[in-house]
Amino acid sequence: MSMDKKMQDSFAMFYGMSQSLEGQVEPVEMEDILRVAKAKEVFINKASRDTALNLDACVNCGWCAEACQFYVASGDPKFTPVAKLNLMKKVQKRELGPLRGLYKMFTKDITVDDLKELQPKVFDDCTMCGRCSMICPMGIDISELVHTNREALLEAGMIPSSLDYMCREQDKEGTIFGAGEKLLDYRLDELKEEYGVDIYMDKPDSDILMLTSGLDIHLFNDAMLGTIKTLDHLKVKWTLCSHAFEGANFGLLAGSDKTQKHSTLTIVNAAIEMGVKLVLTPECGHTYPAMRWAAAEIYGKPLPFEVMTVSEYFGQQIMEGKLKLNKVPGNKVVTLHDPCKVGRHGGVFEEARAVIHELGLELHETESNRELNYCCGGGAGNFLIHSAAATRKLGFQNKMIEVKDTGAESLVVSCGSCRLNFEAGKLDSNETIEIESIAALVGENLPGQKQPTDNKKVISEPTKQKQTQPLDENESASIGRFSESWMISFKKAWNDTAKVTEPLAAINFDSNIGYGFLGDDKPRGVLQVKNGHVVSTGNYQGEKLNWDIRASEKLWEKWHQSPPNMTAIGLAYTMRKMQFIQGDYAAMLTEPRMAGPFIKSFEAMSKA
Amino acid sequence: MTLLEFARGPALQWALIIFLFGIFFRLASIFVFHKNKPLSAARKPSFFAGFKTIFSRSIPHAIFRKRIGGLFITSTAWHLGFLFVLLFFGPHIDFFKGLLGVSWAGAPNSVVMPVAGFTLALLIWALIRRFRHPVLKKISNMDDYLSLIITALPLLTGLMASAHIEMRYETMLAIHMLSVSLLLVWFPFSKLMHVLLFAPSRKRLGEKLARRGVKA
Repeated sequence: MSMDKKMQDSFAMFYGMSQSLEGQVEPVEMEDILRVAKAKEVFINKASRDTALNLDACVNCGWCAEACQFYVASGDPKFTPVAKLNLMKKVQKRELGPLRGLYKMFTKDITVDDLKELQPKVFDDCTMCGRCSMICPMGIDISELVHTNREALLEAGMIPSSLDYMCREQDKEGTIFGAGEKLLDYRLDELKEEYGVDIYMDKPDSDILMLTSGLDIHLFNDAMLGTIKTLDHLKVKWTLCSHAFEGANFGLLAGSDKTQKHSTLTIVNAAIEMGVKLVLTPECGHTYPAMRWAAAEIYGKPLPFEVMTVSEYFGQQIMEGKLKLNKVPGNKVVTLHDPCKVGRHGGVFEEARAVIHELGLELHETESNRELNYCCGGGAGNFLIHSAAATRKLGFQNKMIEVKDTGAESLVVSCGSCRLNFEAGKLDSNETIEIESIAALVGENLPGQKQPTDNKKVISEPTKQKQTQPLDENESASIGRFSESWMISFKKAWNDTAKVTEPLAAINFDSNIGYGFLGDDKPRGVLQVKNGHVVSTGNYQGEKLNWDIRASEKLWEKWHQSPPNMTAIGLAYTMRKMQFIQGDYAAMLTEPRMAGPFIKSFEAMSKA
Repeated sequence: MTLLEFARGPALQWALIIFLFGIFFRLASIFVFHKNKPLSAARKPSFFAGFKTIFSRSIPHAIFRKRIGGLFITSTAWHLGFLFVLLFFGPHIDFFKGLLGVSWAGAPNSVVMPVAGFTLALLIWALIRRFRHPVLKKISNMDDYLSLIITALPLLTGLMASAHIEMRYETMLAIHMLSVSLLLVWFPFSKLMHVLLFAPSRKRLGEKLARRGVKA
């Protein structure tokens, strides 16, 4: 399904949230000499026959560039995949190579400046899609080595701040984007009430442990719903696990062994404890390699259960004749995106095609497909890296050339990150192609359920309003929040907060922002912001607003006492405890850099 | 001892010794490392797929041919040309017979010489391209440039010796032999080792991808 209004607004907020992560955590303090030592330690400790072969066999032919989405799109040699390995090669030659004595005599050791230069090369400019390995005449696994470079930078405390944030959240909370058990419960209740699906949590004697991801919980509910509906339809014994539902693994993306291990073992141990036969990973591309290929290495022995991703499982059920689907009317022409982590790194190709065939959709393949598919442009966490925006755009444009050549009406994909990236890319480039989830498509077209007359109505506005009742006017007025004098104080606090004004000034942010309470018919106070600074303020008098932000008095008070971080705001938004009666989502999508200072503005508010 | 005697004798012998020990040393430095054995369940068996990849990776996937088709043809032509001249030039066959005790039918000089000239021209073009192409300029190091030059020298000196130009034949032949010795000494410590490393490297990728159900 394409995005309806609700999902579009959620998308804008999620996008803003995802783009506001940088600067949310303090940079890692470390002596330069220690950074270098730690990075080298990774390069040395990760040395194996595979890495030695990979590094030694390279003939510097440069063919890898010709397979790289970013080089193909730009012709810029900085994207040359093998060039990202120069530092690693140097350490290998100086510390481990057969001529290390000579190399140490005649070459200089790596420096912290080398590591600084490495960061954009292996994060911003590479999605570890692995297409370069498919062209390399020596068969060098460049993406695997790029991952080792990411690990080295992580140990040196030099990964992009946004990925650092994600790892720290996952280490501490076990969640991403604040999508914990509370939010999952909220979302599941919503789906249950709205669509009447049976949902199982911690159900004993289950055969399948279903995983989900923060992305699906916050945004792509249709994929989660499609999975649940289909499992119910198949009458298999499935369950979610309240303490092991998050499939995303930012340790794998950021290069953090610690995070990867912790996230993986949480699921492995839960699956073993529950005695399931299959762990079903969601439409989250990297969850699949994390569980299907890397988990056994972390666990230290073969896993006592199978691992499949939803498109693989549903496709297999179709291929075995166990799942039949209604045909989508209208001879719709679609094309398929094989996500790198599921396809080239995972081998899931024909199952997704079986689903499309069963749905009666006419599949037009992109010229590069299956193991040779182009990346969406924003994989491996790049979507969260602000400085990678231009590179992502290159990748998206490159992908779209082939997609448009197919003449397809929609692009079907089984990875939430790819989907997110495609949606963001579309907005940035005025593309209109529909992006559809395989799991959602399957769920929508199960036999024996009423066919939706309009696919766009599958996810509708929840009937249940989970919001706190507003306090009466007198009560809130007695506190004085958003009164004229309070707004003047807020204005001063805003303008005194450099973390708000400076970044907003940098993007020439102009906006009229209203604040008020849920349930009121209009906001209370208004800020007029010009070039990042509040120029006037006062009571709302009917002026046109770009943003109208409402929450309960209780929540405002809570945030006054303890300013919310990105996660708390995202959580409140998703659970509808905070609502945007009016939202300038287009501006958020065009300039997501507004999201960071927007969050910091709540800090300013707490000083009012 | 004349220059030719030196080139044919101790120089070549020492070069061969360094060549063999160097290769052993280099391979040992790679294979001394532990091999990662995957614990995850394979989707498909991969042993033969690894061997298959050693050969299949010699030809790029069709989708890449429009971007590197020309390069593939020229690089293949140069490799085959070098091998042809090395193995089918009459004097080379005599040399191998003296060294290994076996011989085979050679090709006429009227074929070998143009092939050698063409192969040399391709090498010179590859060198110029390495200096000029933005990607190659970015990634190239001394090993890349020297390996091209050192590989070209035996072709150049061999052609000069056969064409009897400039110097006495014996002197030119001695220089040719010395250039071969230089190539042998350079080989194990340079990227020329790809002649041997391509096979395990391709096999390793082929196995990794095949067990995941991906064609390398």
